[in-house]
Amino acid sequence: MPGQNVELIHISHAFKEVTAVEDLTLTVDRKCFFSFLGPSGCGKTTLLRIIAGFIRPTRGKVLIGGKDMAGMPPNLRPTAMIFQNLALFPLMSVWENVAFAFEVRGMTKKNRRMRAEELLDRVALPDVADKSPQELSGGQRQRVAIARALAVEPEVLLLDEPLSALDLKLRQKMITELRDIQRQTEVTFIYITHDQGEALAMSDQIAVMTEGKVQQIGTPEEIYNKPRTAFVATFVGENNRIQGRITRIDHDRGEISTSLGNLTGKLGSTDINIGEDVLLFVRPERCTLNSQKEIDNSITGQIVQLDFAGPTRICNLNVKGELFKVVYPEGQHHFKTGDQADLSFHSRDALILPQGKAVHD
Amino acid sequence: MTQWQQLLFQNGKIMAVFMVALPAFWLVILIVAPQLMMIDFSLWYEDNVTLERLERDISQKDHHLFDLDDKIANLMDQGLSAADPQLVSLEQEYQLLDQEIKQLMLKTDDPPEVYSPKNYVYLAHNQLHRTIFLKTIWSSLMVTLIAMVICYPVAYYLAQVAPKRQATILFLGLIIPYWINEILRTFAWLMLLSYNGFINLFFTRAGLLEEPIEFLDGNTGVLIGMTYAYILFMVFPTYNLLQTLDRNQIDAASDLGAGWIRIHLRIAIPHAKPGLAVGAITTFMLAAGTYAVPAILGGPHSLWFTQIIYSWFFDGGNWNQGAAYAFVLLFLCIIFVMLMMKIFRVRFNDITRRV
Repeated sequence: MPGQNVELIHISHAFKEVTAVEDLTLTVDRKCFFSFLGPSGCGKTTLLRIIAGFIRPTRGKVLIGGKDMAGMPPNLRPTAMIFQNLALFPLMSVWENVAFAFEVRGMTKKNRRMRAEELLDRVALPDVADKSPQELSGGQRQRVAIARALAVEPEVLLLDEPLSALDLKLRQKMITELRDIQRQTEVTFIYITHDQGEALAMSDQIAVMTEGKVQQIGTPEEIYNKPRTAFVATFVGENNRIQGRITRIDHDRGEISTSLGNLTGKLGSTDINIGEDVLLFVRPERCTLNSQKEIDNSITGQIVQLDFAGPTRICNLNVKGELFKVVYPEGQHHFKTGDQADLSFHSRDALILPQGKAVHD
Repeated sequence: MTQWQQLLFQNGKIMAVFMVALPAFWLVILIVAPQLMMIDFSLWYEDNVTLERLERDISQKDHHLFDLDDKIANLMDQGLSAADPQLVSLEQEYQLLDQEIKQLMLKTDDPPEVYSPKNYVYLAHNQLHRTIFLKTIWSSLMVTLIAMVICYPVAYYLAQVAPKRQATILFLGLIIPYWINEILRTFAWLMLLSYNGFINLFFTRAGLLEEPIEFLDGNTGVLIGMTYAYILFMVFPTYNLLQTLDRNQIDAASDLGAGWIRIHLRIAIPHAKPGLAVGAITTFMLAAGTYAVPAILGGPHSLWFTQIIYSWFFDGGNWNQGAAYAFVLLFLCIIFVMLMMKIFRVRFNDITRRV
């Protein structure tokens, strides 16, 4: 049965003095599209290589389908990896690349060729079997790499930022295709990326990582709408950030005093007490300008920049020295740079989180 | 723009002329001319039969000259005056003969050159030389093979396994012995391998050998010395290529289930092939063309073909025969290069591009 779960139990790994992964425990459900999202150097590639068996972790255990993988080399694990640079074998033809796993198993040449062509059909690449990998386009090479990895009939497919070399259009196309292939094959996908767009679009579950630790695990919606730490709030999607001190707590709402006056928002953590320094986050698309309606948070600022982004317009507002970003549908307003505007947002759309390590831009 | 114009434009007149003239000089004076000269030398011989006949002729005439000289002296002793007609005619005869001998002597200085394939036919008919020739080729092949077997793991270790610092130290270890002259290095091996040498001493003392081994009697010493002498030429090109092998390729193969033997056979060795081919060609050429190693480490049973060529030139004084032998060796080496490239499926531009 394809698609086993992967359990990581207290995994730690250090390269000399640098800690890459720190005491990480989580479970990837079977047949799940699971992404590790984090900035480069956060330890996600190390983690992937630990699961694949290329790196033996300093501490901790990897279980795949409940079986301990300790001491098992990569060639015996029920995993297959797609490398960042794909690592196709340049001296073999496309079909030999795909059939490499069959060759290892001692299949006859005729069978190998047949099975390879089946797999190439599956990734929608007929008629390239005899070409060399160098003759293919970026997207085609991508698919050859996927076919080659599927040849071992893995329980778990590990993908190390395979889309990072593609241009935007192709990347978007491949995102849909990867998703489809995952649903079809029912293999557990573990996907590593620093691109939040890819992670949000493809995953069933996302783990946001930084400095070797998982910050939050959840569905894309949870990660985007209910970030639990300041890091997740700033790393995933755009967010306006205001520093302040909490002055009042009322159920799940809180009021903070900032340099821009008092603002209210939802409490993003139960761990917040009156008098603490906190951060208030609000998404640019949740802010409105010159609203007619009564909205609980409202501040006035000056428009310093207006960027056209096709269907939307991105407006940068200077409020008492703080820069705010607001996104609104193109044509809704007709501002000019230098205009005054009222910025308002509902307290239900603002999130109060403890000050932690945030992404500074 | 023609290539010449482009060269002129990019480098200026003086540099452009230099850049064309130097390769031309190299090509014509250092490569083509000596080879043509050697081929020419190998195709003719000095006609010794005519020469001997000439020399016999001269010595006969020399005797005659002495006789005449004696006769004249006798007649003078008998008191005959110098103006006597008999003496005058004898004197004339003597002068003529002397002239004739001088002219013949001139001819022997410049013996007749006869163009024929005789020098090559001689090699084909000389069983001993033929055997030595074939043995040289065979031994050179063995040296190449042994060097390849030893050098591939070393190159792989240096290129893919060793940490950077360790690789640097190992490289120094490989190169430093080559700072010493080849003949000195070979003499060092002589000391190690001789009957009472270090290796025999060590093993007999350790009780591992009852009798010392005669390394230097047969081919063993020559093979060891030569493999040692030329292994660097195999290591470097192989290392160069293995260094460009993407680590992910090895990981990917391993991830797809391949064990280490298959990884080497299917991924690493095919990648290193042009380097191995260059190494094999260089090692073979050097081994087949060496003189010092078999001369120092070899016994009477391990005569190398180059030693025979040497003796034709310097001991036998027959440059033509030597040239023919040398050309046969060169010809065979070219065939070997072609064959190697065919076997390894390497093209010339692979070699120039990747190494």
